[in-house]
Amino acid sequence: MGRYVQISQSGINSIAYSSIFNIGDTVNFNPKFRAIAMQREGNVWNDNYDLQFNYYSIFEREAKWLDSSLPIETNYHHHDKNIIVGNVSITGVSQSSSVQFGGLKNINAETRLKHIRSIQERET
Amino acid sequence: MNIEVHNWGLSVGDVAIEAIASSSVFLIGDNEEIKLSSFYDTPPESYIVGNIVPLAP
Repeated sequence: MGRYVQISQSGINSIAYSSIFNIGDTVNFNPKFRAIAMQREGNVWNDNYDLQFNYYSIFEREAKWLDSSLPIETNYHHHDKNIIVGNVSITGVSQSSSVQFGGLKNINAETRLKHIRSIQERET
Repeated sequence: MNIEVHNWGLSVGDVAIEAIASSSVFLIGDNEEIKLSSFYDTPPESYIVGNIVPLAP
């Protein structure tokens, strides 16, 4: 942390769904993203096609992390505090993601995505 | 575990990225802790023929 970022050119087309683009320092970044991506055949859309998150177990499942966090002692010596970036071109940043030039201390990102395809019955 | 980090400057030239998605990070700089998790599932229940029968909890 505590370094100077010099960026000459950066082009990002789209940043969506709890994502960030940051030049400088960030201490905590805890994005969450939950989605049901429904692709349905048919031209009628009304409420009884609405799906709730609690219908599916993927939205309640716990992530399994390492139980014992290793005791790590880090000390930094910034002899040259400059971060120099030329040009960066990014098309898309989406779903709890981050583009960061500079320090980013703690990240705890989570994405839960459920895809559903619904096809109409064929009258054979 | 002890880590000594000696930074003698950091410079990046050109970067071109198509997409950064589902809990990903593109970082030029320092970091201490990264925890990224992404859940994605397409079980048989995700392909439905006919009308939708929601599984009530």
